Amino acid sequence: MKKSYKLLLFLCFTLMFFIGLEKFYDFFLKENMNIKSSYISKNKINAKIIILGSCGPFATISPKEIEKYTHLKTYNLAEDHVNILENYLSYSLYLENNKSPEYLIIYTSPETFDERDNVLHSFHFSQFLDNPIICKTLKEENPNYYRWTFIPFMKYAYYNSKFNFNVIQGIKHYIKKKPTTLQLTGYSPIISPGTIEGKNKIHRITYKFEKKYKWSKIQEKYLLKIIKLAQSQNTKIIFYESPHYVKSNFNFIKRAEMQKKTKKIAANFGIDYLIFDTMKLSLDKNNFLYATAMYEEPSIQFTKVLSTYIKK
Amino acid sequence: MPFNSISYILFFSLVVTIYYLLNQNYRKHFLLLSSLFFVGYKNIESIYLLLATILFTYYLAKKIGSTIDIKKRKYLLRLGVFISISTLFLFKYIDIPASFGFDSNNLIFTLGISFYTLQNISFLLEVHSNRLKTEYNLIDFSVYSTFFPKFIMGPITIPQDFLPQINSDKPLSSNLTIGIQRILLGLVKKIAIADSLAEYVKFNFEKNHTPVGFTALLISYLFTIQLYFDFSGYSDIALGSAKALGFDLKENFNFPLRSKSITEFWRKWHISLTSWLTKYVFYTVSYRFRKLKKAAIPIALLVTFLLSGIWHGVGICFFIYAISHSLYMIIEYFTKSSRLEISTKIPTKIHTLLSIFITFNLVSLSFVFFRATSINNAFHLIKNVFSFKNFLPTNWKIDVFEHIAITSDQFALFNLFLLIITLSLFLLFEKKIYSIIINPKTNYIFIFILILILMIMGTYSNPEQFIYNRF
Repeated sequence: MKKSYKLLLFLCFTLMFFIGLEKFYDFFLKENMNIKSSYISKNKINAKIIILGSCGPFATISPKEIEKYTHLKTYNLAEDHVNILENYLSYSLYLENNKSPEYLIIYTSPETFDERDNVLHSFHFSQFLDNPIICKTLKEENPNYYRWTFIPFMKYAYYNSKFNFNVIQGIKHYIKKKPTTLQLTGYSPIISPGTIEGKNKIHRITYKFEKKYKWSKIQEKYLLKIIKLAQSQNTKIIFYESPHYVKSNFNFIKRAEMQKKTKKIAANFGIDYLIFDTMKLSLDKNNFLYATAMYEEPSIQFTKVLSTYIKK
Repeated sequence: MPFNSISYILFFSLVVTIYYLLNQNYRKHFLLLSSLFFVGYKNIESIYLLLATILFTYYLAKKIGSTIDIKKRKYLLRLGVFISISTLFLFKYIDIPASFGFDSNNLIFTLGISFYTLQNISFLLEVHSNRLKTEYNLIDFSVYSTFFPKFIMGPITIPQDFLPQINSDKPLSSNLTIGIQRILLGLVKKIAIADSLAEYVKFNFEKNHTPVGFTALLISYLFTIQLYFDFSGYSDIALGSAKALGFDLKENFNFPLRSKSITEFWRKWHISLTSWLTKYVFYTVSYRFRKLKKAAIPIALLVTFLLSGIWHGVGICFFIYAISHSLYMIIEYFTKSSRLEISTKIPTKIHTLLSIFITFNLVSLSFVFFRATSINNAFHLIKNVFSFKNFLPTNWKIDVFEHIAITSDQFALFNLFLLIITLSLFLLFEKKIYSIIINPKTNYIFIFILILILMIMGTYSNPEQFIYNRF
């Protein structure tokens, strides 16, 4: 009897501990201002222009450059290694704490809709599982992860290598009460040309190994959700595709077909779709880290052109 | 049903609960049913194949036991061994299930074949040599052959150790505590340490990012440690599961990374396989070649390790792995007296540390062949280790830590350090940890720490298979 009492006490303590630990992680991850989702839900940004997309715009579009020409407060909500689905979640989270923007600029290159990018990085949103949109989306799109989240702390244990350091950083930010500059504009340029040298660079520039695209229905579904959400709040949407190294086109199988589908969606919703392939920048491989991502200097040149269009 | 899965935890909990509620007389029947479920839950064909093997071995053993004619007994033994080895070859090396459209990775019969083939052979050998005194029937033999904690990856048990335990009426409650503590420790070793190491080792071995000099050496160390935590973690779960059911299986590891020589290493690493090979191969071969006097032992060592290499798999890498260890052992055999002489001239502590260091390095180098994706991959890494020109890194952060951690991200480096600290603590206090585990008194603090490590450091989103699953 005494033993079973001890065991019961132990189980209760363990359960309570992990419930507490989960709350601890929730709190300090939301305090970590290096995490974009935490930053936007903690700080009032209220930008007039929001840039949405993956690594392309994250590393290319400088909000300060756009502000120079448009005089409208701009925030880059794009992130490295994310897809349209995650953009939808970030944008929903942004709207919870901020006013809806006047313009939503969405990066919609064919690469964005490739099926290979369907991976949902649920760990970007684990601390926001109390948000109904995030909860519903993760339940639908990543049930393998979602079913674990009912066990205390398991929502973090499942991807734990992604959280432990961020929690410690969150504690630091909480104590110092000083957000770092990392997410102030949301932009992170690729500064050093020649980061990747030799053979690797040529492979990445020309995609010597063919890249055959396949249209992703999931990304399409969430693009439509973003469009409906934005248009319901009278936000004007612009689709754009930044310059890419055109000589690599021969290895991008079915790229044109992908563009056609995006154009059709844009037309259906009365959205402008801007493609900047004809820019001179697209001809010089020295402007690119890889075929679809430019270095800082050419990015600024491109941002000027994009800003001029928005200003018009 | 891998040991590091929720399905196994649920299955095991259910089995233990029913087992404890059952009358002693029905427990072995229930164990057999549970084991057959374990083998056949994915595909019923595994059960048919297993039952055929059991019936064949059992009746052949009975026949050997009841035959007086020595020649006939020998003939029956040879037939049994031949059929067992042929089955192993057909299923493991030729992959006969694939020709019938089966995926061998899902056929539990194939997954465990290397282990229970050896068990069945030892059963026949023990019966043939009249060493098996325990009375047994078909149910007992079937439990011995299919017992789920040891079915897929051992430990390989000899019948004398296992059969008497089937019908013994031992108190179970203290076993349950030890069993559960040991399972938890095994899960920590596998899920929190080995699987985390796997990511670094995989990247550095397989993605053409082969490091140079000290970093390459460190990667080979990390694989040795990964393999140890992976396999000993598995063994802990197997032994813990068996213990909770009242069975004591043979220990598979005895702190092998602290070995002072390769000979000692093989007494402490994968003990059940080493014991099997020593008993049935090494002794037999050395006895056969006894007339060659000093050469008998080296020949026996060579044959034993070659067989061990083939048992792990066919291929040049396993061949080199086997040859390297037999060479290590042969050299140790011939230098025994001179080494002893040296040891008297050096302070004991220094000698011990030096011996452990040399042994660990030799083992790690041979394990490169065990892990490599190809012979070129193995030689490339070894060549890089011995590039003495650039052996020590110019920038430790970039050349060593960032290389191993795969990226220069702060969180990746933090995870690497957390892992290194945890595994170092485990290696340093291993003996203490085991002394807590085998204590039948429930240590709640220790259990809590293990659960905490599992939750903070475990790998769940992308679990790795046990390395020895492929053997």
